[in-house]
Formats: sequence, structure tokens, C-alpha cells
Amino acid sequence: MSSNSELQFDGIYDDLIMDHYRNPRNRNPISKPHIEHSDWNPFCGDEVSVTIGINKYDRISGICVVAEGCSILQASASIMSVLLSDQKIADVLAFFEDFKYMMDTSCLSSSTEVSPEIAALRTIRKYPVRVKCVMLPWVTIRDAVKSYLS
Amino acid sequence: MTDGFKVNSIRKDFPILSQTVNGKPLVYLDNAATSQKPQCVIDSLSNYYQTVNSNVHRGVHTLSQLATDDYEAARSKIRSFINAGSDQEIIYTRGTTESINLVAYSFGVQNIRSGDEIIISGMEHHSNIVPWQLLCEQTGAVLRIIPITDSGELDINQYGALLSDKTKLVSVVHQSNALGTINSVKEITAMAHSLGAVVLVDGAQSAPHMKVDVQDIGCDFFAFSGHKLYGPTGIGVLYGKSEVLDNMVPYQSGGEMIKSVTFDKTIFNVLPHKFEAGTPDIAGAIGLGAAIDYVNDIGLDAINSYESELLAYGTAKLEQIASLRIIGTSSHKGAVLSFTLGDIHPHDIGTILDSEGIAIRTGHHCAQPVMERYGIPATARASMSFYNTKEEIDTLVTGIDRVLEVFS
Repeated sequence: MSSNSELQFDGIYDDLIMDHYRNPRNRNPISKPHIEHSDWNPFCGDEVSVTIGINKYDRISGICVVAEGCSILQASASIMSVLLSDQKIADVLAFFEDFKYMMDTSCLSSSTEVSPEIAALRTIRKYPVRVKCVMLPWVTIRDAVKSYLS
Repeated sequence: MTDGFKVNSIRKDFPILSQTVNGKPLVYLDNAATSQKPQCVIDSLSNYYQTVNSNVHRGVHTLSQLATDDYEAARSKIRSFINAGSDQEIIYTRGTTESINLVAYSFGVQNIRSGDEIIISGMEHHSNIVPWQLLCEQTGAVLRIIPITDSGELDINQYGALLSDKTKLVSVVHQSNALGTINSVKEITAMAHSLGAVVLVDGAQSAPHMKVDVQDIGCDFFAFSGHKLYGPTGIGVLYGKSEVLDNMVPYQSGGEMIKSVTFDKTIFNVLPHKFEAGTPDIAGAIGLGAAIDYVNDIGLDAINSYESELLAYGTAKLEQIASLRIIGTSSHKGAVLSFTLGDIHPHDIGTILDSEGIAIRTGHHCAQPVMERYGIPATARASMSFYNTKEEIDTLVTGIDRVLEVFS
């Protein structure tokens, strides 16, 4: 593949995104999960299902995120699964809120230092219509964890 | 290209087409979603508001009369455009969706009973599915579906088998928005009429691109939208045979649609006003009239011929792309190219094409049963109009090459 930096869409399909799209992490089923939840976007048909195993320290011991849809959705799901592995389950909601703030299209110039994965996803804010593709896995896991904790 | 079809001159009538998008000349191939507007339509809206703005059918003052004249003149243009028998058979609505809902909630609630059957097809837009589902829930009627063949045509034999004396209404699309297929609505109508069922034809995609003659088709209702016909958004049409409309109850109630009101009794107005409660979209109606004038000046035969050539050219070009699969390959179709590209999601195709200034539609096109029929979540759809060019199709092909490069 040619370097995407030559292309005109400001790196939305950069190497990190394409790597997570082509080689999605954490898609192996979890045996006896503590949390199972799925969601979908009726406007485009994108689907995400999340299963989570939790250990005795209330940390995520196993996570499986299966996303069916565009490359951005699948990359976001994969990145999320990596970032949340081994996190305390109670911290997921705060993690979601931080991520949601970072994806806010109204603060494009924000210079907060973030991981390369988050930075790659933030690039997609230049295409507001695709931000919903990024957000679907995160909304799904937020709802799943909220329901589990309630 | 068709001799004498002056596409370069026509393009100058559409101011939006000369702009750049993402630094590239706009290539607008989303005409099945909505069409662009010629300057004369844009001018008709501003002229109305600048010179005659007033309410219709109400005032004795000059402006009200002028507005009413223009509003009703547009109705006559629409009648002539689809060869309806009289102006009173042309009802202004907000668009195709409202036209179908009008029939469902008026004719449907009045005439459909438990155990009756309504037939639609497997290639309907959601707007020609959901109103009938709701009507069936309300009345206990049953919805039957005409299946689609692999090439994207309606299975007429299956349709014949579905028809029975239980069938009270058949509602089918004239040209599919997702596949481009043009259905034999005249034959479908005759078959339904032989069993006493009434027929609605969804003409949202056909009216902008081919000569429609509702009397020749024989349908009881024909619905279409102004905005796909180079007119404004917010205005649409329901044609209905006057003998059918006369027997229908009003869909909405209020001013305009009444002849007299006392607290004891209301007498409804005559057609078409019985179905036009409240102040209508006067500017929109006049704008649609201007759009029809514009289309008539070019000529629907010339438009249809030119768009057929664009379709043939585009089909041949896309067929050369190995991983591309065209969805909807009927030999009788409008200038719509719905396709998938290997396992690349249509949204990714759409975003990359957008970066090249190319506007296409991606998704299920409000026709999820069609996607299910072909076992796909979505398609990319390039839908053409008479202001598109062969060069723009070449640009689309270059854009698709770029998509393949990114996802190689």
C-alpha cells in the first residue's frame, strides 16, 4: 500500500487504524462472561457485541469485542478492547467519559497528550459523520457496564 | 452521447455544480436522494417571497389573488406533467412519504378490514412499507410481499399467485431507489384491478426521469416528491382518481379543507382542497411548477435517452473493476448504480470518494429488505441525472481505484 500521507483525507485511514481493522484484537469468545451486551446503529446497520470476564479484583480479565461494519468501527472496537484490558470495571465509565470528551468535534484544537491509538481515532473528528462509527463500541461497553454495576 | 444534448450548457443552469468540495470539483452522484436545483427554481422561490407572498384561497386583495393564481397554475402544470384527468386529482403534500401516509390513513382505515390483504414488493422504500405495516396492525389486515429475482426484478408470477379476492390494495414502487429497476406498473395495476384491488404507485424515483402517464398506467394513486424532480424540498404530490378521492375521508383537518363549519356540523371542501388542511407550502408548489417547466423545456424523452447512455457507460466502466459487484442488473432500469466492492464497507467507500469531491449515497437506502435479499448490510450507490457527464463517471472510477489502493 502506498503511504496514506499522500492521500487527501488527512490520515483518517492511517497505518494504525488499518492495522487494527485488518488484525482486530480481542475477538476470541470469553467463556462464562460476566457481561454480555450488543448494540447497533439502525441508520447504517453497524453492530457491536461485547463480552467481558471480571476477576476477583474487579478488573477486566477477558474482553471480546466483535464489530460488524466499516473499517473505522472495527478499528475503534479493537483499540477499545486493548485499552480497556485489565482496567478496573468501575473505571470503564470514567474512561468512556474521557474518551467521549476527546472525540468532541467542538474541541478540534485540543492539545491534550494522548496515546497513539486515541490520537488516531481523534483524527476522525475531521469527518463528523464518521464519529458515530468510532463511538458505537464505546457506547455499547458503557451501557453494558452501567447495566452490570446497577 | 446523444446528439444535441447540451449537457455543458445545462450544467450552467445549476449553480451548485460549479463549486469545489474538499478542493475538488463537485461530482454529484446522489440524485436518487435529492436532485440539485436549477437557477430558475431558486429564482421562483425568491420571486414569490419578494413579489406576491400572501395566503392562498383566502383574501380578496390583489396579492392573495396573484399567489392563488400561481399556486393553482403549478397544480395545472403537475396535472399535465403526469397526464392526470383534472387538476382536482392533484393533491399537494409534503412529499412521497406523506402522500402514501394520506392513502394509508384515509383510504386504508376507511376500507381495509381484518383478513383483507395488502400487497407490496420486496424492493420498497421504508416509506412504502411502514405505513402499511401500521395499517395492518390497526385493522388486522395481512401484508403480502412480491419477491425479487436475483437480477432485481419483481417476480410477476409470484405476484399473480399472491393476488386474490382478499387483496384490497397493491402498493408498488415504479423505479427502485436501491436497485434502479423499473417495474411494469401498468401490468401490475391491470392484474390488481381484475380482482377489484386499488393500486398505489410510488413514483418518487420515476417521475424525475421518465414520462409518466397515470391514465395509461391506470393506477388509482401515484405519489412523488418535488425535491427529486429539481424542485424544492417540502412539496410533493398525490395523484388520485377523482372517483376514489371523492369517497375518501379527510386525512388532516383544519382551515382550507372545509366548506362550512358550525359547532354542530362541518361540511368538507371539494377536491383537492379536502385533503389540503392549513396554509400549504405555497412557495414550494410554485417552485415545483418552475421545475416542471424546466424539465419540459429539455424534454423527458431527451432526458431519458441521455440518462440511459450514462447508465450504459457507467455500467460498462464499473463492470471492469474485478472486485465490484453491481446490485440490481435488470435490463429495464434507471440510471442507478448500486454496488459493493469486495469486503470494503460502503461507508469507507463513501468517505474516500467524498475526499475526491464525489458525492454518492452509502448505506441501506431506507430499503433494508432489499439488502437482506442480497445478503449485504449496505451498498454504495451512484445515481445519475441529466446534468452528469461521462467525465464524471470516469472520475468516479478513478475514485474507486483510490479506494482499492487504500484498502489494498
